[in-house]
Amino acid sequence: MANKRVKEERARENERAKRQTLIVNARRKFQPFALSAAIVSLVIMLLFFVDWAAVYNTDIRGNEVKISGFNTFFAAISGGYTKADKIYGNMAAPFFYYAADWCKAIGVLTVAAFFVNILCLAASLTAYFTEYKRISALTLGCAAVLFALLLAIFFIALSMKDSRILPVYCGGNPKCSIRSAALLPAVVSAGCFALSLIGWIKYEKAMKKL
Amino acid sequence: MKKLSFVLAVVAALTVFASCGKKDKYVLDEKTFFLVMTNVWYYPEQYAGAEMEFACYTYRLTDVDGKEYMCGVRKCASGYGCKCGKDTIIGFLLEYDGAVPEPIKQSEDSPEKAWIRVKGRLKGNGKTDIYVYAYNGDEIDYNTVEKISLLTFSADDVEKIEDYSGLNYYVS
Repeated sequence: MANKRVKEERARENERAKRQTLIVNARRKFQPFALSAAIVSLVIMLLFFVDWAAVYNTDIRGNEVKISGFNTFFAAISGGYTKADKIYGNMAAPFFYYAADWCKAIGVLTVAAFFVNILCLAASLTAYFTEYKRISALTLGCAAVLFALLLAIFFIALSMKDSRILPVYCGGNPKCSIRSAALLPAVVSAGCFALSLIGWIKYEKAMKKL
Repeated sequence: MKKLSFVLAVVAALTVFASCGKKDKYVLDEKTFFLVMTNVWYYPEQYAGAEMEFACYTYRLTDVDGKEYMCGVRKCASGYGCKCGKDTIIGFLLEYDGAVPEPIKQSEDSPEKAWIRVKGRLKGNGKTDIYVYAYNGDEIDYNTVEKISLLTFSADDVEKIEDYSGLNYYVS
C-alpha cells in the first residue's frame, strides 16, 4: 500500500517536472523573439530621425528642406508648428505655411506612433524579463498598429505634392519633388510584427503540448 | 504603478522640453539668422513686440518708379526649387531716426559691405511690396519686373560694424 503511494507520488513529481521542462523550453524558444522585438522597437525610435517629408531638388541632388519624425513629434505635442527653433526643423516654413493640414495630420499620427512604439517596447521587455509571456500579444497588436500609422504617415507625406509647397514654394519647378523616408520605419515595424508573431506562435505551440 | 509613473514622467518631460514659450528677445547669430528671418517673414505676428538684434548690411532698393527704400539685409537664394544663380535679399525695410551708413558694393558678391548691428522691434505685420527691375547678376533687365515683399523694422539703435570677418553676406 505504502509502495503504491510512493509510486503515485513519484509519477506526479515526474509529471510536474516534465511540465516544468516544457514551460522552460517554451520560454526559451520565445525569449529571443521578445528581445529582438524590443531591439527593433528601439531601432524604430531611432528612425524617427529620418525625414518624414522633404523637398528634394535634383539640381543639388539632395533635400532643400525637411522635417524629421522628431521635428514633427515635438511640433505636434507642443503646438510649435510655426516656431523657428531647430527642434522643429523646417516645419514652420515651408511645410506648415504651405501644407498646414498635411502637417497636422502627420503630427497626430506621429505622436500616436511614438507612444504606440513605447508601448510596444514596454510590452516586449515585460515579456522578456517577467513570467507574464502572454503580454507579447500586446506587442503583436502594437506592431500592427505602428505599421499602419507609419505607412499612413508615408502616404500623407507623399501626398504633400498636392499641397501648395511645389506650386508656390518651388514655383512649380519640375526639378523639385516631395520625398519621404517614413517607409523605412514602417518596414522595420513590419519586422517587429513578424518577430512578435513568430515568437508568439512558437510559445503557444510549445505550451499546447502541456 | 512605478512603470506608469515613469512613462508619465517621460511624457511630461518631453512636453516641457518641446514647449517653448513666446520669447521677448531674439539675438540672431550666424547660425540662426536665416532660419529666424525666414520665420519672421512667414509668421510676423509671432514676433510682434519682441526685441530683435541682428547684424546685416545696408541695401538701397529702388523701385520701378524711382522711389528709394533703405533696408538692412543679407543675400540669399531667391525662392527654392532650382532657381540656381538667382539671388535675392532677406531682411527688413529700416526705419530709424538717425544716420544709417550708405551701402557699399551692395549687389556685388563680396563681403565688403556697410555692415551694421541693429536693435529694435518689428513694426507691425504688414509687408511692403516693392516692384523692382530684375537684376541678372551683371545688369538690370528693364523688361522684367519682380516683387519683393519686406516687413518694416523700427530700429532703436544702429551701430556700424568695422570687423565683419565673421559675418556671411550670403546666408542659407
